[in-house]
Parts: sequence; structure tokens; C-alpha cells
Amino acid sequence: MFVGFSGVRSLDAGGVIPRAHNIFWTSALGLVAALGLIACDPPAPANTPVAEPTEALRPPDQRGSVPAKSRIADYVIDAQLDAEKRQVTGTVRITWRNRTTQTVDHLPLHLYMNAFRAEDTTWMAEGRGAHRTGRPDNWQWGYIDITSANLTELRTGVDAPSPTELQQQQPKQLEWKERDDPSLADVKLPTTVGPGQQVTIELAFVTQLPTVFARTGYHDDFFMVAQWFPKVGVLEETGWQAHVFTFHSEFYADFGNYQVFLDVPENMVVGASGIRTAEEVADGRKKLTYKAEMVHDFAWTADPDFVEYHRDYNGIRIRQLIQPEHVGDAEAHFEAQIETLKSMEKRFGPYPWSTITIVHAPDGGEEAGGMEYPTLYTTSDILNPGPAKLLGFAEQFSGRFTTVHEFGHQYFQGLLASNEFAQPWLDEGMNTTSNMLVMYDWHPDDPWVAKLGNQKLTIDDSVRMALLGASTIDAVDRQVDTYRAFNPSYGVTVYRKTAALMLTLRNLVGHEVFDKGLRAYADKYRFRHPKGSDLADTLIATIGRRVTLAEAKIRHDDPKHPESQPEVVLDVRDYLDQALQTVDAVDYKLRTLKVRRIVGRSGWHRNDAGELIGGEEPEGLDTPTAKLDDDLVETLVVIDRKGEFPVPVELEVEFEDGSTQRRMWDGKARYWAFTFPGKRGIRATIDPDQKLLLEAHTLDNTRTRKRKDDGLTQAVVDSAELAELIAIGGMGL
Amino acid sequence: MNALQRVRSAPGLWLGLWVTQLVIAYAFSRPVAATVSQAISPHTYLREQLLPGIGELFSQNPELGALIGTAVVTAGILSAITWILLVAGVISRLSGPKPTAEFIGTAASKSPHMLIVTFYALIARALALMTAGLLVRGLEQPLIKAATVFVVWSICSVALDRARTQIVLAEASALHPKTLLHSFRDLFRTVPKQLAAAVGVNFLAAGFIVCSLFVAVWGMGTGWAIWAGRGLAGLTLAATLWRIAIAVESVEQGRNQAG
Repeated sequence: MFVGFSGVRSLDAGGVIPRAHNIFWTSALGLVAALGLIACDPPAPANTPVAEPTEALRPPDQRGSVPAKSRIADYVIDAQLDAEKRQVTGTVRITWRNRTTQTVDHLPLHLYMNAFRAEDTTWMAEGRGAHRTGRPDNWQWGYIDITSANLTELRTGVDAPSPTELQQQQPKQLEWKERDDPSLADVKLPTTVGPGQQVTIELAFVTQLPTVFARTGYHDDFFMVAQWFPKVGVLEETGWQAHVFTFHSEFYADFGNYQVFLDVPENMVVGASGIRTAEEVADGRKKLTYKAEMVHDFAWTADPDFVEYHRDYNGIRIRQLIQPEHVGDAEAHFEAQIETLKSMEKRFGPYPWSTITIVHAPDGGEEAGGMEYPTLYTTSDILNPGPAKLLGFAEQFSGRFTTVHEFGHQYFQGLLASNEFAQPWLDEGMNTTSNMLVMYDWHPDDPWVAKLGNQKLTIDDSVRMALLGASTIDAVDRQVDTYRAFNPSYGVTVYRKTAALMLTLRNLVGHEVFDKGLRAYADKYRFRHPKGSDLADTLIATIGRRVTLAEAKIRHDDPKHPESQPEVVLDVRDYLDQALQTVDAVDYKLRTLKVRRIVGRSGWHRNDAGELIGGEEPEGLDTPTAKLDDDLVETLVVIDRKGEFPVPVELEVEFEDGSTQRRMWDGKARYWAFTFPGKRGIRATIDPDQKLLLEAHTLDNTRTRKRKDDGLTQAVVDSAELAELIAIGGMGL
Repeated sequence: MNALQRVRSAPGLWLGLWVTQLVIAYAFSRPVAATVSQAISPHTYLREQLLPGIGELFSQNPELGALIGTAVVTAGILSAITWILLVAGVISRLSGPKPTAEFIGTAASKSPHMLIVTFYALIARALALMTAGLLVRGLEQPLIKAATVFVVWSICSVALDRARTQIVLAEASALHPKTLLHSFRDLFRTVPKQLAAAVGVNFLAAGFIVCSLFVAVWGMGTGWAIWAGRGLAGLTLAATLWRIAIAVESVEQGRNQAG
């Protein structure tokens, strides 16, 4: 770009026209060359194929605990994709084990695809036919139709019948009926299934895929086949958990083993949950067999355009299926994936499966992006900032953070598998918490997520700023259908506020003990569908119910003297209750910072004999504090609690002599006054270490004396003035 | 005297116009300053990273965005009006040294003409840009698209410069659109090299604008950014005067040859 300057100088030295002509080309070429440089895409990564694992789970010494009793529902699916009709036709044989003390007479089935069957389904009515990226063009309804249901076997043991055994059984036709909302149906069993018994049923189904929408469907030749087969609800001691598929809701299912036979057009590149155990190509069709163990869902994708890349991380095969125009981003996704694996294995225990597949939806199919399934997830493309790159614009939200987030779900959904309908925060919110921990681990000195010029936004800043939005409409611990589609609160509350409250707690009680608590939770509840109370109990068991954040330091001469530091104790149970169950906000304001004359001893006082003595004039009453001796002044700092959520908070005061002092306040009163005798404060800051991620409003956290600018006005005004000058100059009048 | 020498020989003109720009920009940033200061007062933002503070400030004071937008647009409009009022005087001054009274007299007497020809140019520019937009729509390279559109924009500016100069120096009629249309024709037929030179200078001005953008972003929160930006505004103005001086020189050469 600056090549143009040399052109200017040479122009001045000689005749006008030829040199001016040069100016044109020099300037134009310089500009284009500079812009061209920044527009270059990164190169495609080197690819070293990694062999398909032979087992769906990692070796026992690497996979951590995989409790056999968590295996409840096994699925054998045989499905054929008709790419022209965008239909999947198949059968599913479900073996379900009753590991509760309840007896059941029916099996509730999730028919998720029926959420997209008509305008008046619960899902579509709430979303008004639109999802994240709006209403799709060329809309095609999606549905799933059960065409037959048979009882294949009922037995008292809990071992799955072998295929040979099943073939020898005489199937018995079953009745089934959709509920009012077609995303649920019930299959009536001819006899009850009691504790310890198991039942095998076989269903034939046809699934019509919708135009890619709400994570599933097709776009041209791309297929994201998810929520596509009938799935059994979860039987708990309190009864069946089978929820209507609603706008924000995701999924809840039991663990089990899956064997899936897929028949697709030969040209398709297929990615699926689990590992591929067989492949056969004949007559223009490709027949693939997959096996997945101890998972609670099975999803697959097919696209003839997928380009495939591999990496290996400690025996885990990482497979990336990416669109040809984005292959330059593959390395960045691998890096994000590996860093996330490293961090999460360290923090939450071993990843149990032998594979993970990263899927990129094509342009136009973005609705399939950013979704998790067992051992497979869809990510999003990395935004190309174009010329903005020259302005120092960079971000890690698009693409990289999606990869971090969706892989994080392999733990906070795939492995812990909480009820996402009843307590979505345990999944999305705890996963976002883990994502932030991953970012801390990945960029320990600088966990940035966006940069512009010499300015940047950290992951903590991004969460705080999100809370400025709709974080006080709904509480965190709510069933998913209470978050209405017309409110913007779901993403802010369930994802960010959960992360903010967890990380605020971490900052208050100490990173080490909090991380230990999270690890204990992850270890104890692998494959066990924990509830919110399990998380709270585990954290409290590790951290302690009451955590002393500041020891009492009472001035013996005057215990009520505000210089005294009262004991500050955090009740972790109360904290979690208020953070999870209310919409109360954490918000403090530094109301006062002033230096004032200290209260003296002038006037009349009684002596030991009871006589009034003294009567001196007050010393320095009318003297400006700046002229008083240090021992005649004190600094007064007053903090207001504006929010209804009291959280212990720290105050830091800097004095004219360069020293600083810190005080802790439990935040329970509406305000608190701190005095610092003999000191002249020049700055006071609430939460100087920015521990309180729950506090979104922080502009009123600092006051200064003797400082003329407020730290922000000049920057904003200069930017506005420069924008005006650019507009004036840019018009080229 | 070549085009650049004409600009260099009129430092007072450049300085006066520059200061006018600075005053307009400064004046319209004052309401922004008052509003932001009021929003933060009496607190202080001490973090080195400004984006979180700015994010909170704008999210809690959404009127600020509107205020800044209004300031930018209003400053632009006022600057455009000022320019239309002064441009005849500017052209006159670039044609040779003139007393201040003559500068003011030319500017005042020709400003209605300048307004009319600018209006025609606005229509021509809109049509040209729409046509260019349609032509490059199918191109895949965004850089080529942007460069093409900018060349078309520049050609319109250069044609307007020539038409204005013809009106001021050659007493061409401003009322009839043919003055502007002939300027476009002449640029391609008679003085294509001047056209190339002026478009090149416009690229240079665009370079200064891009630099200003850099300064605004990379210098955010620093003391030097505003002065660097003001300096670049002066350079952008100098480049614009240079572009106009190319038109002045070209018209004068034409008149001399005809004479």
C-alpha cells in the first residue's frame, strides 16, 4: 500500500501526464496487492489417513469407567437412503432393559422428526416455522411414520438376545398410537415388563427428511440424518421421561449399543456415530455397517463433496469431513479439537470412545451446523474477515469455538447425559463452563475470543457482555419449554449465565478446589444421567458448604469501627440456589470515594472526676483536606448493592502514597462504608480481579480522585471524530 | 505550472479548507463527548482493553450509536454543503493566485451553478454505480468488484471536477446537463491521460482514507490517533485538491490550445 508514496515523490520531479499515469497504476496495484495478500485462504492441511478403529470404545485402561448397568437400550437399525426422495426407510429393533423397580405396560417413543410435520406441532407453533437462521427456502416438511410394530421378545434376563435367537422368535404385532403432539407415540405391550426384565420390539419406519432445519435434513446432496428413528423414553423411578419435542429442547435417552446398517448411493461420503465395521459397494449403492457402544443416539451424514482429513490423538481417531471450499480451515479445527480433548480429559476424565467425527455442513446447509451427537458433531465455518484482517480483526467464535463447544458436549451430554429437557443448563450451561476452562487452558495468558486493532475481548468479557442482554427474564434451572421462543433469554441464561455463575463460584472459592469438585462430579456421574442436585451436592461435598473468604480483623479499641474487616463467609448452597433459581442480578456500584477530615476530640468531655473539661475549637474544620496532616484525614469509600443477589465482593483502594489496601464485603447489606484513617485514597475499585463474572454492569465499579478523564469518553469521541473525518474525506467532493 | 505545483502554491487554501473540516468534525463530536461523559460520570474506566467498556456503554446507552451515526452523517452533509459553496473559489484559486475577495466572489456567484452540476453528477454517479454493480455482480473476486466500483466512482468525481472547472473557468453552462455529459465524453476522448492521472490520485486519496481507518482502529484509546487522523484528513484533502488541479490544468491547456 505504501508503495504509493514513492510514486507521489517521483511525480513531483518531472512532467505531469506520464508520471500521473504511473501514479494510477502504482497506487491501484499497491492497493490491490495489499488486499490480495490478506484475502489468501490458508492452505489445505497435510493428510495422513488414520485407520478406522476396530473397537468403538477405547481400551479399558484408557477409557475410564464404563458401568455395564448403564446399558439400557440397544438398537439395531437397517436403513436405506433414497437421495432423490430425501427419504430414509428402515427398521429398528430395540432391546430395552428395565433396570428400575417399576413395572411398565407400554414404551413411549420419541418421533422427533414429526416436530416438523405440520404447522401446528408444538415445535413449529412455538418457533413459527423458523429456527436459528430463519425460515428455510423451498420448505419440505419432515416426518417419521411407523409402518409396523412387532414384539420380538420378552425375557427376564438382561442380556441382549443374539440375532439368531431373534430370528427364531415369532413376532407379535403391537398397537401403537401417536399422542396429541406427534413427536411422541406409545407402543402398547401385550404384557407388563417388570424390574430386571427386558423386551425387544421391531419397528418399520419411513423418515422424510425436511429441508435442512433445526439441525437435521437435506440441502442439495448434503444429508444430515439426525433424530431420524424411533427412540424409547427413559424410565426413571418416578416414571417415564419422554417429552414432547419443543422449540429449544434437545434430547434425553438411555445408553446402549448400536449396530446400524446403512445403504446409500455409491458416491456418498458418509460420517456416522461410532466406527465403521464393514463396507460393500455394489450396483451403484454403498452398504455400510456401523457399531457404536455406550451411546444414547446415532446420527449420520452423507455428502458426495466431503473431503476427509484425519488426525490421531492418543489412539482416538479424529475424522474431519469438510467442504472443499473450506479445506484451508481444517487445521484450525483439528487444533481446536485436540486442545479441547487435552483440556477436557485432564479436567473431566478420559474420553471413552475411540473416534470423533467433525462434520462441516455446506453453504446453505448451516442449519445443520453446531450440533452434537455421540462421537460426531457438526461445527461451523470460520468467518473470513477479508480486508478487516488488515485492521487486526480476528475472532475465535466462529468455527474454532463451535468446535470447542460441540466437542465439549461429548462430555456434557454424551457422557453425563443429563435430562436436557428438564435441566438444559446441566448440558448447555455446564458445557459452556467447560468451554471457558478449555479456553483458559488453551490460551493461559490471554484467553481472547475477538480482537480489533490493539484491542481484544476475552472469553470472560464475552460472557459478561452477553449477560447485559436478557439474563433476568428466566431463571437458570428451568424446564426447557418455559423458555419461550419470543424471548431472547434461552441462550443468555442457559449457556452464559450458567457459565458465569459457575466461574464466579470458582473465582471466589479458588480454582483448585472448584476444579476438583467438577472432576468429582464428572467421575461419579459418567453414564449416569446426573441431575442438578447431584452437581450441587458434589460441589458442596468437595468445596464445603461454608467457605470463609475473609477472616475477621476487629479493631480491639473499636469493634464497630468500619476499618475492621468482618468475617466474610460464602454459603455455597445459598449461592447456588439464588444463582440457579432466581433472576436476581449481581450488581455493585462504587458510590463514594472521598477524603475527609477525621472526627477529632475537640469539644467538651467529662474527665474521670465527672467534670466537663476542654471546649477547644475543632481543629482544621474549615481547612481543605489537602492541607491537613495525614493523621487528620481519612478516606471514605461507600459501595452500594444495586442487584438483589448478594455475593461477597472485594474492594481495592489505592492511596496517594502509592500503597493499596483491600477489603472484603459479604455484600448482604444494601450498602457498606469503608474508612481508611490517615490515608488519602485516589482510586477505589470494586472487584479489582474481575472475579464476579455474574456482574454484567461494571462501568460503575471504579471511582478516582484527581484523574481528569474517565478512561472511555476520549476514546469514543476520538473514534467518532475520526469517523466524521473519514466520511468527509471519503466523499471526495 | 503542473497540477501538484498548483496545490503547493496555495497553502492558505489547503490550510483553510483543512481547518474547516477539522472544525466541523470537532463540533459534531462534542454532543457525543457530552453524552458519553454523562453516561460514565462520575466513574472511571481503568482497564487497558476498551472493548468490554465500550460494549457495556453502548448496550446500556443505545442512543449513543444513533448519536454517533447522526454526527457522522450531519458532519458529512455540512461538509458537502460547505464544499459546494466554496468549490468555485477553490477552482479559481487553483487556476492561479487570487485575492481573497475574488475567491469569495467567485465562490458566491458560482455556488448555484455548482449546486446544479453537483445534482446532475449525483444522478450520473448513481446510474454509473448501478451499472457497474450489475456488471461486476457475476465476478467472484470481491477485490476486483471493489476496485471496479471504485474506478467508476472516481471517474464520476473526475468528470464532475472537469464540469465544474469548465463552468468556473470557461463559462460553460451549468443548467444544461450537456456540460457534465461532455466532461465524461472529453475524459475518454480528449484527455484520457488526465483521467488516468486523476483516478490515480483518487486512489491515493483512498489510500489515505484507508490509513485513517487503520489509525482509528489501531490507535483506539491512544493520544496520538486523533492527531494522526487529523493529519491524514489534511493529506486526503491535499490529494483531492490535486485531483481538481488536474482538471484545472487540463481545461486551461485546452483553452490555451484553442486560443
